Amino acid sequence: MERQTTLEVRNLNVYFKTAGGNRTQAVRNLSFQVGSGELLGIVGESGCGKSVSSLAIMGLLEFPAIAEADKICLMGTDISKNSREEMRKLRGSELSMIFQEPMTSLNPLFTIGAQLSDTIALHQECGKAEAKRRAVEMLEKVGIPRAEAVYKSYPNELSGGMRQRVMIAIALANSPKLLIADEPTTALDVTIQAQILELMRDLIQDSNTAILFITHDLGVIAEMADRVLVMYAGSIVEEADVMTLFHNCAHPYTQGLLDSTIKVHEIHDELRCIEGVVPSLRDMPSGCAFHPRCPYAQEDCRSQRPELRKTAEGHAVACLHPLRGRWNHD
Amino acid sequence: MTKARERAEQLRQELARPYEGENLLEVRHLKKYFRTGSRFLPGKSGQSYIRAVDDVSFTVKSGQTLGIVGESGCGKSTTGNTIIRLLEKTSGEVYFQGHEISDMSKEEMEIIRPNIQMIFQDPYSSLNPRMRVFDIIAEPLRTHRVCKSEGELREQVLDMMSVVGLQPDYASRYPHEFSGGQRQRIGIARALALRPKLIICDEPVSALDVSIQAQVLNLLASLQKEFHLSYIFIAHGLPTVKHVSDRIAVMYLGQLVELAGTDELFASPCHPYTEGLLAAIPIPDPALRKERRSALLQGDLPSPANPPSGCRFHTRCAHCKEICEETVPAWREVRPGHFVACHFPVENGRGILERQDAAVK
Repeated sequence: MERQTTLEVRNLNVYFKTAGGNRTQAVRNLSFQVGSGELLGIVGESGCGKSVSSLAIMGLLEFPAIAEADKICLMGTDISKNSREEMRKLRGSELSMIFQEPMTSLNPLFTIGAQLSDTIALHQECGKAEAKRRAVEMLEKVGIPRAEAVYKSYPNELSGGMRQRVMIAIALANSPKLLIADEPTTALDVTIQAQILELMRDLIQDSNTAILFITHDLGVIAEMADRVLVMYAGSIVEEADVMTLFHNCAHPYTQGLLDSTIKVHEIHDELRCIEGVVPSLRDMPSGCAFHPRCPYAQEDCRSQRPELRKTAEGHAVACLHPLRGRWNHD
Repeated sequence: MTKARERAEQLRQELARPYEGENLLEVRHLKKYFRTGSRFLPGKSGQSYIRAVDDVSFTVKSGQTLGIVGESGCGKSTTGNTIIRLLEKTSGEVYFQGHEISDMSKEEMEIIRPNIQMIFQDPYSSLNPRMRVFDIIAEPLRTHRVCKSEGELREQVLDMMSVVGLQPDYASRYPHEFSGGQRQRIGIARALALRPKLIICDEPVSALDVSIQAQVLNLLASLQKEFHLSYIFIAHGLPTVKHVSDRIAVMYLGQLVELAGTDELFASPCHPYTEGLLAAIPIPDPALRKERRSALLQGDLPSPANPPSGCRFHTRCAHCKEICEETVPAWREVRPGHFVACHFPVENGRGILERQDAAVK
């Protein structure tokens, strides 16, 4: 099935202005696309630029962060040069986002109903009564029991899982074209996480929404994603479909991540770690950013920055000496 | 007076020797209730108790790791804190090397304390930002007057730093100069400084990145071998608990529901809650994606202030029958070393180890 491209990002760069007029680069030449109904996972450790990129796409970055992009196309129209007002119209209708902290992303002073029907009334131009009807319908859709009662309650009366369901209801209320989920289940318990992931899976199947799913958990990626971007120190180091990534990855960093993930389903899980720490943005290594931690680093890795190159259909790697067949089980 | 001193001296000498027995720590019927509400108001706002830990019993075997898992609010951290007496118990007994420690006097407890240490979850808030790394690690040594001279202290601290993989020239730095993983190493060095026999690790890697988690877990494993440590490893993430534990206790609403050897628990859980918990773990292999779902737990954790009657899990349990709502299930051994508190334990519980075997074939 040919997918329509929902979002196309070309050469997104994000800088932070620092004292003394310098700037550090948090995201470097990020390019990717997501199709309708596709779930694109973005994995990486903290500080790799995954959240900053998503905020840049949403137009939510503020000073001292500066985002520059050749283009950010939503359904074929470039939104990277949009004014604040234009972006505000898009957010909540065409573009929406689910944040990590269900505790802090709802306003504690307003009822769930007020926050949800506001979003609906604002973008769908309907009356109050109609907005309420649709809001309750949304709450039922995300599996909230006693939706009428929850409509009238305040965020502090709900558990973390319930609040995250409400966030999802708000995000999906206007059938967005693109949904960005930034670590939507990280703050939740594993049983609640499973419920939320299941809910998201069901909701995606019914709609054509494209989803950017940001997480650090490879287990969640394996459960959810169609395609995956692996980010390290602000750049994409590998892009592949989920099967290829887990069974035939080509970048040593991806392999390191997989090695340090505990295989719950295997009896003797061996844990190999990546030595060292993620480099600081202010003090990026020359050449390949991963070379100080890479077990396969060679002389040219120190001086030459690898570009993201296509190695097979749908598989791209930014590495001068990509791994071959190391993970090939089949 | 002299008798007490004699007893203390005896205890000190006994603890200085390596422990030969099997059960280093034994917890019996431990309870910890927190009072809430007003003492003066009647009815709903009146006084009530949150039963954070309600009748928990287990043993920690010498040189082994006992994992305690459960969702947030199940009482696993309270259990750890009550054992080490950061919180005072409501009732129950805790035996360390056969000595009852939960009622011990302050003086005697001081002798016990170097043997039980703790590593905390948040490496950002568990280190004093105004102290240098050297002083942080030296603090327990100073408190217990282990070293006779400053030179000896210095030697011991630097030794500890090298054991956990910190460079000696970091000693004069402050915690904010370190990354999360390195801070956790400082916390580990501090816990290790007194050469304890038991370390209670309360979510030691939950705040860390995946690659750093692996570093810290491997470090904990090698330290266990080197110093013959026993761990109580408290975490909500089953993968980490599985990786480090010899045996795992599963907690739900202040009570243990199941305790078994790690592989046994993951291959064939007996309690429906454990089964649900295992089914909820995302498995890092997309090839195994399709086969799950059926055992997913529905609903939320009930409030521990007002736990359900009978079996506390009955409100979320798929196999719930009448008796579950009325009678508290007994804690019994279904297989050697495999304990469960359930009226109708699952016969061939669906673990997640089996499925992997099937997939390999």
